[in-house]
Amino acid sequence: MDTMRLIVRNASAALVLGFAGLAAAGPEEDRQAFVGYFQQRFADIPFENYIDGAYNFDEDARGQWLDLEDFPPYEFALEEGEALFNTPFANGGSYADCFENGGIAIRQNYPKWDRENGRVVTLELAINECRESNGEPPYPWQKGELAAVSAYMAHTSRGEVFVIEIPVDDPRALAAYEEGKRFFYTRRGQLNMSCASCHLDGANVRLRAELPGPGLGQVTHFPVYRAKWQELGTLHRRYTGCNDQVRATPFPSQSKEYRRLEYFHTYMSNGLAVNGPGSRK
Amino acid sequence: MTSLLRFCLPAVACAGLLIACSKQGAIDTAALSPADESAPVAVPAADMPADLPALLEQAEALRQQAADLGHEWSNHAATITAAREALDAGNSGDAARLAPLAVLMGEQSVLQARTEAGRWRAAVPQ
Repeated sequence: MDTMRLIVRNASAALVLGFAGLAAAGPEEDRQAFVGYFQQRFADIPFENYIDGAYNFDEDARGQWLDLEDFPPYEFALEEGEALFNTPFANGGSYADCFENGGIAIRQNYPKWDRENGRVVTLELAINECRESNGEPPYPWQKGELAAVSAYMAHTSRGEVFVIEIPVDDPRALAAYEEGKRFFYTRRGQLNMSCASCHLDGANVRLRAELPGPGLGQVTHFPVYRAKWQELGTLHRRYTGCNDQVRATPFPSQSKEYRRLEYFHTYMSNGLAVNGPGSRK
Repeated sequence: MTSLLRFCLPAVACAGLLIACSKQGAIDTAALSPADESAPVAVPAADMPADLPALLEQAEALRQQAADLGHEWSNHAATITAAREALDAGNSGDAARLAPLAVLMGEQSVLQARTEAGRWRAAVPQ
C-alpha cells in the first residue's frame, strides 16, 4: 500500500513539475528546443548554414543556386532600393532620419517591440511609417519599391546576427510572441496544414517536386527574389502564398497576425546572420 | 517515424471524417472543387434538400464564424457563391450538390478552429 502511495505521490509531483515546466517555457527555451529539433534531425548541417534553407538538402539545387548568385537576379532591385533610400523626400527628410544608425546595418533588429504603441513593428512597416511621417504615400506591402528599399537595408546588414528582443518587463510583448508561436503551429485551411507541417516536420520531406526548407533560418534571406514571382517579394507576401497554398484565407500583409508570426519566426533564428536579399526557386 | 505520424494522422482523420459524412449522404466528396464541376447534374426531386436558401444562409453564417476565428477556408466563399448562382439560374442539380458541401466546409473549418485551439501546443518541440 505504501509503495502504491509513493508511486501516486511521485507521479503527481512529476505531473505538477511537468505542467510547471511547460508554463515556464519562455522564448529562449522555445528557441533552443526549435534549434535542437533540427540539429537532431540534420546532425551534419552546421547551425550557421541554416541561412541557406533547403539548399542544405539538395546538392544539385545548391550548385545551381550558387551559380545564380554570381549574377543575382535581385541585383537591379537592390540598386533601385539604394537609390530610393538615398533620395530625399519632398520635405527634405530621408529614411536615414527615421532609423537608428541612419538605417544602415539594422535589419537584424527587426521585427522589434514598440513599447509605446504595444505592437510588433516590422522593417517594412517602419519604412512605410517613415514615408507617411514625411508626407509621402506608403508603398504597396508585398513587392516593388517597398521590397527594394527593404532589400537594400538588409544588404547593408549582411553578416550581422539576428538579435530579436522580447522585453521581459512588458507582458504584451510576450503575449504577441505567444500569438505568433500559436499561429506557426496551428493547422489551417482545407488541407489542414500549419507552418510547422511543412517547415518543421515536413522539412526535407518531398512535397511533389519540392523540398520544404527548415523553419530555422527561413527569415534571414528576405526580401527574396523568387523565380516563381520573377521579382522581389516581402516575407508577408510569402506568408500570404503559404496560407493560400493550404486553402486558408490569407491575412492582410502587415496585419497583426502576420507581424506576430514574424516576431516568433524571426526570434527562432536569433544567432543566425542576415543574408538578404536572397534568391529562391 | 514520429514526425511522419504527426504529419499524416490529422490529414487521415480529416479524410476519414469527410468519407464518413459522405456515407451518411451529407455530401458528394468528389465535388471538392466546385469551379471544376460545371456540368449540370440531374437530381431526382425526392432527393433534393427541401430548403436550399436556408442551407446557403447556414453556410454563410458558418463561413463568417470561421473567419472570425481566423480559420476561413479560401475556397469556401466561392463554393457558396457557386451554389447561390446555380440556385438563381434554376440549376437545381448543382445547387443541391453544392449547398450541403458549403455547409460541410463551414462546419469543418469551425471544427478545425476549435480543435486547433487545444491541440497546437502538442506540435511544439520540447
